Amino acid sequence: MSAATEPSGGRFRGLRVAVGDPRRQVRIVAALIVVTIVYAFLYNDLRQGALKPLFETLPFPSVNTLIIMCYYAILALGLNIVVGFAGLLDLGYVAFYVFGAYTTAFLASPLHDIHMPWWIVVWIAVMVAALAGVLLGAPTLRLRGDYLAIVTLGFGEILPDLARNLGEIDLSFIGGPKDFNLTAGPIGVNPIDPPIIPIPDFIGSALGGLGIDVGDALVFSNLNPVASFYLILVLLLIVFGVCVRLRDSRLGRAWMAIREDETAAASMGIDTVSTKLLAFGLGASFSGFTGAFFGAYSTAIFPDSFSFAVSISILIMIVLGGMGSLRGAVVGAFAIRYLSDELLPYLGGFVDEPVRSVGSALPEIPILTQRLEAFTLTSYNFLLYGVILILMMLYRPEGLLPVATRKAELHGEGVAAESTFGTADEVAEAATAYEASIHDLEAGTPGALSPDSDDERRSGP
Amino acid sequence: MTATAPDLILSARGVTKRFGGLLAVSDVDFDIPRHGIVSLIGPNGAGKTTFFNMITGLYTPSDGSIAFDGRVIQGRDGPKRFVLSKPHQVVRAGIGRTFQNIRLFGNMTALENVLVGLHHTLKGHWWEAIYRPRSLMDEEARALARGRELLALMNLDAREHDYARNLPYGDQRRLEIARALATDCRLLLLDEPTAGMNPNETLELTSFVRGLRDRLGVTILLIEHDMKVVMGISERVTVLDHGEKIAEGTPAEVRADVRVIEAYLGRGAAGHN
Amino acid sequence: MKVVAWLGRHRGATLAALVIVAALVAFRSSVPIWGGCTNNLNICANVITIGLFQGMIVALIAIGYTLVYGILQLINFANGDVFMLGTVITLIGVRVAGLDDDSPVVSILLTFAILLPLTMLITAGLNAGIEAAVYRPLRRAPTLATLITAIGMSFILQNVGLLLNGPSPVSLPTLLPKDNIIGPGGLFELGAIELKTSHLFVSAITLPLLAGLIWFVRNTRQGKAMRATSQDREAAGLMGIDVNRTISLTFLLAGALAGGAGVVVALYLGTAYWFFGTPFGLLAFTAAVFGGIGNLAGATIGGVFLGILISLNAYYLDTRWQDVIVFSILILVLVLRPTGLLAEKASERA
Repeated sequence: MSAATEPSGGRFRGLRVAVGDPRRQVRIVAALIVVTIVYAFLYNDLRQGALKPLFETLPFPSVNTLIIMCYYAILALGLNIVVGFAGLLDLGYVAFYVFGAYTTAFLASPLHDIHMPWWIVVWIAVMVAALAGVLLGAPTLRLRGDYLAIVTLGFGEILPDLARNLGEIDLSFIGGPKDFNLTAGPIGVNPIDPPIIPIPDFIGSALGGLGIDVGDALVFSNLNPVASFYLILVLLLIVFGVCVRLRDSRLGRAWMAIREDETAAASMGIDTVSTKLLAFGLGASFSGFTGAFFGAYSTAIFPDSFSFAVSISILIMIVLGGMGSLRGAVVGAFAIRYLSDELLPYLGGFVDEPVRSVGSALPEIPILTQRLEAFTLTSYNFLLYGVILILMMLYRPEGLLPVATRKAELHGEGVAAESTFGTADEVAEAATAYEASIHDLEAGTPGALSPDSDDERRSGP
Repeated sequence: MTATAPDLILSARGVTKRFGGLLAVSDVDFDIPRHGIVSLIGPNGAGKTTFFNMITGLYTPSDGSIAFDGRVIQGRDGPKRFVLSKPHQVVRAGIGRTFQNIRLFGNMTALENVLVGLHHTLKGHWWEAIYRPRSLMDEEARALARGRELLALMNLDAREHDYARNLPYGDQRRLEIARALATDCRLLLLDEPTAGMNPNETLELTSFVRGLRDRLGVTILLIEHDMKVVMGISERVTVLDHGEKIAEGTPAEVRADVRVIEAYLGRGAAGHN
Repeated sequence: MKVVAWLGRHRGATLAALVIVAALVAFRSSVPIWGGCTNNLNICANVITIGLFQGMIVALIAIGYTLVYGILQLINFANGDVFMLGTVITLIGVRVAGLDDDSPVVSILLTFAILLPLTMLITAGLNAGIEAAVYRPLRRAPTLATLITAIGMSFILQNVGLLLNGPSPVSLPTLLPKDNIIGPGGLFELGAIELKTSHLFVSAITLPLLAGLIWFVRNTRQGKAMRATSQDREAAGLMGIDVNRTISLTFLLAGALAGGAGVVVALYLGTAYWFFGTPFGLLAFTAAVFGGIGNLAGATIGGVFLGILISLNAYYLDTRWQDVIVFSILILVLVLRPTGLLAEKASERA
């Protein structure tokens, strides 16, 4: 099974051979983007107008869902750098999301009465998250895979916990107030200033003349989902482009090498510590970036929305899509979010009632009838996640849209770190041949050091 | 630590490695003359790969020192200093290596494997990859060209886009050497480069290795079991057994050495051949 | 003399420890837990006693983590949820048996004489079944894959618990008498320490289980097989040990212990809750790591230590800090001394 085609020339010059024709894929994606843009613009009208019955019977995503799908795609791309490119299992990705969201809350809300514009705050949030990534990663990235996973899990739990508990800090022992409020505690921060582009008067009046009333500023909050959707879509495309460039660069090759065989990578001159830290920090910055958007778009954040569940759902997205695959991360994110936010409630609408009536109709069985009568499909969201994880790991660990090579790697072919190259049989054969030759020598055939002895021996695989 | 003579590229003194109770390498002194081809031989388990691993920083010497180009890179440097160089630092100093069990990046193409070898010679910053300035693209183009050059050198140019794990065994061995050469090393450590090769391939490789030294000036240190190769191209041979150096000299001297024969064939075999 | 030499080698740690001790002595009352405790040692002793019993429960679950990790190098995320299912099964059993607040002691004892082994059997089988169905096919896969699968399994079990128990914590009838054995109203008094009948029940179940397991692993042939397989799976196989059976046995034991802990917790705390697996699992895993993962005695000691620690935290500080404290310990141990505080030598490479 050799690589597919020669890399096509032009803009797709690069070494990674594209799976399938890249030009056609770009055209398809471009078309989809145009469709979605138009869809978002017309959504409200479509929903209430002529297509109303269609919209009520089929699970069309709301613009809000589209926005969520997009920013989770950015999260998935970020985690993909850490897990998919560099091979570091991070179970606490939400920690950096918290950093991003709360930095935004600190710098653009009444909480500490600072109101910087989001366009500046977002960069600060990114840097804070990146810094956090480096500080947290530096002592921990040298741990083995599963230990690293647990430590990151710890970070992912501690950060939201701190956000929840640092609403009242007793600073009296250093002469401060007894209940210093850093993070607003469990009630969260509400409101947060959304991103705003002020509209200059002349544009405003010009558009006013055309009958379009735009107000004096373009506000990208959940009160204005269409504009916010365009913003996040643009951001997603930019982030995707950045990821492509990173993947096809010297750094991307270094990450791949580390993932393949860290010792060999180090032995070829790659500073594995710095390179892994870079992956971790970059991934963290993507998460912080998204946290900043999320906080500002939602105009409010609550510590309970940041949890291990969030970290895991992002992991599921890249497992589903294919670890290391950029398209996979995006598609996985879209799929999982659509499933949770639109599809499951939609199906629940059909399934809940019948199940509940079955429960009422049945004779009283201790637990069963109670559960059936209160059945809600959406509460079994995580059951679905668990099943997806297990099925993917058992039957298609390379994901639905894999990087071509990953498939073979996970199905037991190819090189895994620390193992002998070649199948066990080949190695055994070579070893046996060598053994046999030693015995021959002892029996009196030409000595080991004689130049003539080798012709019989070496019959390599 | 005695000053290394100017014509030695590597100088090891008293190198020892203990794994818990096991003494894998014991008090080995070893010199490699610049531009030379030296072989390290010995029965299995003699400590040869362990010695390699200490040079490249995968293992920490328990005692002794290893100096490269006059500078101590591993081990004792004076009474109070113990130097430890990490593998990537050793590579950047100018030492490249291949592995006994081939350790290619299986899911990367042959060309990509070689490009990884070029990693530390490229100076572009990682963030430049995002906006792709001219300087970076030029460097990448040069790297691609150099990579293809190295593949052609090893007769692998047709395999450029094949994944390393799909290559035939002999090609994989040669790819590993191409990758090691990409690191721009002055000293190349080859760990059983002809293992599993048929006599033709072995011959090709042997003359290739000699060519590396003759044309590129690369010093070669070889671990080998194939005595034809050892006798054929080595200028000096050092023999290890059970972690100790038991003989050293020209191929002819070592071949006739009683202790060496006994190490390979057991006591009493010295009378044969 | 050996102690002094050891201290000399670990100068950094010794210095840190000395600084901490000095600070504790100097700032006695303002240090959160230490201050409160030293103020009233009697109450503190009682808090610690409660923690001791909680710790034994944690130890049961911790052993499950450490056993499985020792033999498969797998962090079985689902272990805590198996424990949770133990509590749920106990609840169901109590309901089915029709026990309530007024049930006579005899019927309670009789019910549990059946329910305890039954629950343990079910959880043991469940655990081993999970291993056979889900972990075994992935034994050659990279550890990333099995870890992710364990997480998935954890979710599934949580949802099973949700299905069986509902979204809120469910109370069991009060079945354990809360009379003091030591303390006011009891046989005798010992400061402020209150040892209740319920504590006795807890130890009556946990101690034999702990002791039984440690005896089993140390003294039986199967236990030796488990230890051998933990050290070198291939070699054990070559020596004639049926590796699959041994691993199944390990999971059976881990599951049984988790189930036993579930019964104890259902009785002692009087609650079953589908989300129990997470806090208990975290505590237990931290205990296992603390004591040296793979080390049975360590897991037990770790469990007791953490049980006492969270008891102190709950009384003197605030339960809202519990997760932060436990996770911080976990992270610190993994980063600074991954082999655990009680292991004798650190490994060569992380």
